[in-house]
Amino acid sequence: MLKVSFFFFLRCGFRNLNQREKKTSKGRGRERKMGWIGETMDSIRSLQIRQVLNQAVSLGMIVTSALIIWKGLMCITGSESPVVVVLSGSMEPGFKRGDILFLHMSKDPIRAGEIVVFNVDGREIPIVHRVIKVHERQDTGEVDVLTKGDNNFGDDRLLYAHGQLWLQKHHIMGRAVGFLPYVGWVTIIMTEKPIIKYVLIGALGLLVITSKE
Amino acid sequence: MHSFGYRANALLTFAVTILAILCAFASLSDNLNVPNPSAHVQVLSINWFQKQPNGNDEVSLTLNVSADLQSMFTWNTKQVFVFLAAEYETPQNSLNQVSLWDGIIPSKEHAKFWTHTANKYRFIDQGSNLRGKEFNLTLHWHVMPKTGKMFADKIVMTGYRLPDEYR
Amino acid sequence: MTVDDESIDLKAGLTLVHTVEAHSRTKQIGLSYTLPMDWQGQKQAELLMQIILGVFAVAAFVVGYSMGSFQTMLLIYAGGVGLTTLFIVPNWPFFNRHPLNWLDPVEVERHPKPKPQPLTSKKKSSSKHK
Repeated sequence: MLKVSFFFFLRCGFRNLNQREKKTSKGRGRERKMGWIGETMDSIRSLQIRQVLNQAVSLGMIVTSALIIWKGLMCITGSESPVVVVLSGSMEPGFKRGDILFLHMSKDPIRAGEIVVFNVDGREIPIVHRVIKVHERQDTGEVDVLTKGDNNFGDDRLLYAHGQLWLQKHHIMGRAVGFLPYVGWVTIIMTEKPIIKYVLIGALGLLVITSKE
Repeated sequence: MHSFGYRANALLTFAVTILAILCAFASLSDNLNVPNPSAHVQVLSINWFQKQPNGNDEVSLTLNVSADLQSMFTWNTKQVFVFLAAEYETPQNSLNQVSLWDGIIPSKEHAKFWTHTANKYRFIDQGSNLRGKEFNLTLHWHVMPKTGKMFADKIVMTGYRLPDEYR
Repeated sequence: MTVDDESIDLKAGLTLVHTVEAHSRTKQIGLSYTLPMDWQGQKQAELLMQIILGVFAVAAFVVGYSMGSFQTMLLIYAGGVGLTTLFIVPNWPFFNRHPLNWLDPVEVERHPKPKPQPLTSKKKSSSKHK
């Protein structure tokens, strides 16, 4: 869902960039149309097809560039999900619902105090909490990690899978290294009220098709 | 730029971009801050020290933690999360970090504090290695900014030791 | 996004063609297709927007940093955005000081449509107009 809002933002920027080029080709197209009126219908039809294709290609370009940037970020930060939105109030007052966290995963060992994002087997939504206990093995370097939300009373053992007492490194998706407040509300609204997502995508599609510029 | 819609769109995009740049600069300005924190921890008493039925040692302590973290606060600081961890080594584990107490400092005025408390989280070992164990008490802090990069640091205090026998 | 001098003429010429056509279709579509802001005005508006926002951003940062208040910086910047919106978005008359005179639709019908070739001469005439 973050991708959709990302894409929307990109689209507005792109729209400004593409303005001039679209207008020029449009102008010339209309010129020719004026000269050929009274000639064949399908030359007009072909021009309209061309305009539609033009729009479709620009839209495709925007979607593709959004995807490229997203995948690029995934590579750079080494994390499956380089940007997450805080969904619950378990880390207040530090991170409120609707904040965005930038993640980074490096080979450095997990240490107490770090804010990590992890996936529990069986739960699809990643959780953002702080590490409070670390036990690192001498020989293998494997770690057992216990986490807890700042605003929660007890540790996260209730959230882990049944019988699981510790998290291992492979559960952890990344460490939080930076954050932006309030920006994630768009994603939350679109996830919790999917109708808004459809309305937004519909409006976007409509704008692209009907815009003259 | 010849209609409301365009001008509003261009204005909004530009304004948001500039806002993002402002936030980035605010975050960068945090690097200019040179902090000099201080901390002191005293183990007042060992309340009890036992071996659990599952074979792990557990100890309960009462601590007196006092610290001055006022220099950590900048204009871009939302809060400072501070916690005290006991760190020690065992034959099985090269590093064990157990958080004993944590707190949130919301503003500069609260940054010079002291607290007299039992350990908030249970100090349980993986195994039975705590008798006579020497450990460090490390005060960690995480500075959470209003926007931008978070950073963390710590002060290591050495020289603490658990009793040789269960109590 | 920047409108520079060379493209103003090209845009003027193209929009002339565009608008003339639109004028002739106006009654059917029911749109009012007047240009409230001329080319010079648009360029001025864009420049004004960039300058005002830039100045406010710098001022907001400096004041906020020296006062040690993030809130202050945000407020000053928000004020700047509001001010810019007031200046830029509505169609103020001072942006329309160099209006281009379009031909009346009736005029157009009286004169035959120009061939694509003389577009360059038409461009020159519209730039002379300014």
